[in-house]
Amino acid sequence: MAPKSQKDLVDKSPDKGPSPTPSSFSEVDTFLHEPIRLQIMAQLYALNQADMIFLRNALDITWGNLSFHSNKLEEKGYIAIKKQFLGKKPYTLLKITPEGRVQFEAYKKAMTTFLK
Amino acid sequence: MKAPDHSTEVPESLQIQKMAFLSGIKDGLIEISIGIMMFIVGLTFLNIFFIILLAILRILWKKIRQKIKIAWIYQRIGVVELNFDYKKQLKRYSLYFALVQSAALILLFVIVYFINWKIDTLLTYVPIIICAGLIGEALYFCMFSGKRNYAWVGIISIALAISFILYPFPSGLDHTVYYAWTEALFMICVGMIKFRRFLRKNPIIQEMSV
Repeated sequence: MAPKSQKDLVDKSPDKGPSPTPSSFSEVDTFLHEPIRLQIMAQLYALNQADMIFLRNALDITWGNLSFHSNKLEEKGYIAIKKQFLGKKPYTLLKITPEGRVQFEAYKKAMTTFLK
Repeated sequence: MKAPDHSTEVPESLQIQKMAFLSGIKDGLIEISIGIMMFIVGLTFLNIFFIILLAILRILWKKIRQKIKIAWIYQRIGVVELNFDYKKQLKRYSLYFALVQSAALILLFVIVYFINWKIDTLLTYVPIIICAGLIGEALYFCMFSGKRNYAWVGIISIALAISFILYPFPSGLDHTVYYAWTEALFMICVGMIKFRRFLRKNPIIQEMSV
């Protein structure tokens, strides 16, 4: 039978060291935990700004995925999307917002703590 | 074909910055520009008035490069702007290197003044200064892109500089001018090959609407 709670699991296996508690994972931003969103945020966190073509090449994902997750990140206020023209060609520029930067740093910290 | 990696493992920020820097230099335009500059440097040693052409090209190059990038590059690999801290590191390195080169030039003039070298003897050793500049460029690309292939530019430049210093040319000027032109030819060829390969490997991508 599966243990009723995480606390039971911790209590029954004291020899295996401290196990992750629900409270430590609850600090992780699960919205950012989605792999594609996380990869987009990692790229934009490291760079000042990048366009859709660069991100598609760097992450090797489909336009649909990139478009969907960028919109989600924009809705959350983590990134800003701007349409611009280079010569006569339109391009979409993505930039991490200060809020996104704070959230990404918090995510990294929470994950590091959780994995320790 | 390599399967896309969508794991939650996040690459290091520095690694991403290096990749972005590499994407900006893999088109071969820098090598072509260095080659053109070297060709004009060779001409400047023959006639000082070519220094005006060198200055004009140096000023206009940023605009010319941007136009080429809009026409050929951005629609293939996209637009990316490096992090402010990384750009600061790039500038700091360039500044340090400019200081080292200036110190080497001053040292050369001091040697001429105190040892009483003839200008002809001095010109024989000018390839060392030019070569030092190219080694600096090669190190710069190696350090900030994380690719060691760029070291070959420095190694070939050293080999060429030593060969041209040792070859018994009739005058000191020949050592410098022929070295600059050979380097120019080498850099333009490398740049053209890289540019051609870049166009072949990176097809034009039509951006889908978000």
